[in-house]
Amino acid sequence: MRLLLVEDDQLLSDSLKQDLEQEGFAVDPASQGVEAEYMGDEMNYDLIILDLGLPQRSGLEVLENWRAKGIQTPVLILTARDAWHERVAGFKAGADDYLGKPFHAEELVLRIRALIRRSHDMLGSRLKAGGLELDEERQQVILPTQQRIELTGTEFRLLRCFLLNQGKIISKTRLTEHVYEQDFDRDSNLIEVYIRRLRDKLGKQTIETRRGQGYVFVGLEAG
Amino acid sequence: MSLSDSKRVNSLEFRLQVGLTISLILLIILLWLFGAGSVERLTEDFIASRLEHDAEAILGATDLGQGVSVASAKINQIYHRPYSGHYYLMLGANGEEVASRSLWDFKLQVPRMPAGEAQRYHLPGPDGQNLLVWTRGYRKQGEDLTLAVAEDLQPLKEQRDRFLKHFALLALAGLMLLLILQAMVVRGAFCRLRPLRQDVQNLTSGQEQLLREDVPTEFIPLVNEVNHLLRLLSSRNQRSRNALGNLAHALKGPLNLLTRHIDQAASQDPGLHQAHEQVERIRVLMDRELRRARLAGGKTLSERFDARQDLPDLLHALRQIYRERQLRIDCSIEGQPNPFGDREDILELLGNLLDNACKWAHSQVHCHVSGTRGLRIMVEDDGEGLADDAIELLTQRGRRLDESVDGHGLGLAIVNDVVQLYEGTINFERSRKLHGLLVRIELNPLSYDEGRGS
Repeated sequence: MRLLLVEDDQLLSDSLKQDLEQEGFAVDPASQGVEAEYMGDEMNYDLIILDLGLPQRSGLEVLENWRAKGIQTPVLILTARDAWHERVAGFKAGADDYLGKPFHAEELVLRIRALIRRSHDMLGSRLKAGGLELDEERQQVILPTQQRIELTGTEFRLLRCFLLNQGKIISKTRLTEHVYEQDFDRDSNLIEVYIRRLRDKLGKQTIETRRGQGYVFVGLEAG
Repeated sequence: MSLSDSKRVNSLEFRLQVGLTISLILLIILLWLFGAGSVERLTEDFIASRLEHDAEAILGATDLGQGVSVASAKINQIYHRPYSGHYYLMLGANGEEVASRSLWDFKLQVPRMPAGEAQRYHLPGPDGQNLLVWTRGYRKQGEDLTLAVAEDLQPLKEQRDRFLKHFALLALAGLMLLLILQAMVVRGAFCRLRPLRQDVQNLTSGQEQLLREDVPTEFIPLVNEVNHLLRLLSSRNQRSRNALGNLAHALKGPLNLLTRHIDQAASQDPGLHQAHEQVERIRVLMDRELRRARLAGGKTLSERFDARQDLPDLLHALRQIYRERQLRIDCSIEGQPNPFGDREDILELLGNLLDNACKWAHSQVHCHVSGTRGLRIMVEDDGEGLADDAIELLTQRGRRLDESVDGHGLGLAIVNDVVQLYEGTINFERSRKLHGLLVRIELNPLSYDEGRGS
């Protein structure tokens, strides 16, 4: 899961990035409006966290521009401007959620997870697909037998991406994008290594390879 | 002089009325005097010229054969009827006098005149008559004669007096009519200032609204000046409101880091629980005071709350916020509510009220807005609601909401602040339809909105 974090307070941005990375998200920070809008245009993010009081271009304007261009990435507005008329304006501009500052990091993470599930049309408060359930708190996968399997950070990120996109082809590039930081050395062979490990843990048939296209998560039932 | 009297004397309308009245009265009096003088002079001139003609006729009928005699058949019969009001007297060179028969035994005292000279004067006549006498000296057949012809002015004078009386009455009636007309015109002109006066009154009652500019030309510079000042004031207020927003923004950043720091540390060190509480308290206090400071009270030039436009936007926001819980949030608007109050204030009120209802609702929240001039709001949910004694506590006068009921805290406190600012009322009861809490709020129309209403 790759997030765009738009926040002009450097200290807050750094600490948030740290918190979010601990939760298994890849985070790209941006600190001003024009830059943020460009990044949102160019990259296919899973979610954008947007501050409203930005230098150069206001967050509201950036959001309106994205929506006008047809970019449907879920946006969570994170701002100190939390009067109701400001919230109304935020949602009107196309926000999906709104969190006032100051906030607790746990609440932000809960809302991010909910928003990501929602954007993949997943109802309920759990991440479940193809007979598998992901415990996002402990980074474990739960089998239908209620057996819990520990996952490493990268395995967890990969599996989350698969669960959210069950039945869809995901290219290797996209997987790399969503699993690693921007400046990480993108060796696509590494992805293959992690996919093999996941198959070892969950069964070979759960993830199919489409030659030249990418991978498809089909789930346990298919096999 | 009482205060209201001095105010009256100082009023432009009063001064105009008095000035116009005095000049009108002067005009009428002058007209009357001139008219009366003219009539008098005209009648006398007319009579004098008739007397002159009569004198020619009498002179023509005069025979100087044996003394002086007048052939009575040759002159107007009116000179023969006693006291007819028409008389003549002829003075011969040798002291003989020939008087008209009409004079009867009355002696007319007339001085002799040298030939060719004439004179006009008034003399008392017989029977209390007032005579206009025309006298002239003649020379006929070598003899010096003085002929005086007189006519009684009394009947003419009476007629003239009657005319002058009628003229005076007519002038008085005309004056009255003109005064009434003038009062109406002046009042009408000042009527155009009434909106201005209303606007200025609103200003003094503390509302920042621009003065309307459709006033008489003379007042436009004044109105422009006042409006300029108002705009200045309003932008200054707006700036200080913005400054508060910026302060909130600036304070919240560091507070956020502090919260995060303490959150993390508290998980390892339970002793930090106190610090955590205090940070939370600062957060709540700051939030409340900043929100309160932001309330405008609808007295500024800011945008009004328009239920038909703003309410759907607010519901959209709430539905997004509570999407996970799949609440049914609906709203009905009755009639055509006028734009009301300050948009930000009313959104804050409705937002908090509905947010509170959503928090406690099981599956449904309903909101009803009505009132054409003021604003009536009803919000109900299907949650647990409040116990009857808690409702009683809430409805007690002067009780601060955040102190009285846990959980319904901050949101309702700000709701209460807005209601107080707009001098409205708030009531809590159990909803009969949804069985949760029902909040009724009634906000009165501000005089500003009233002025613009309908």
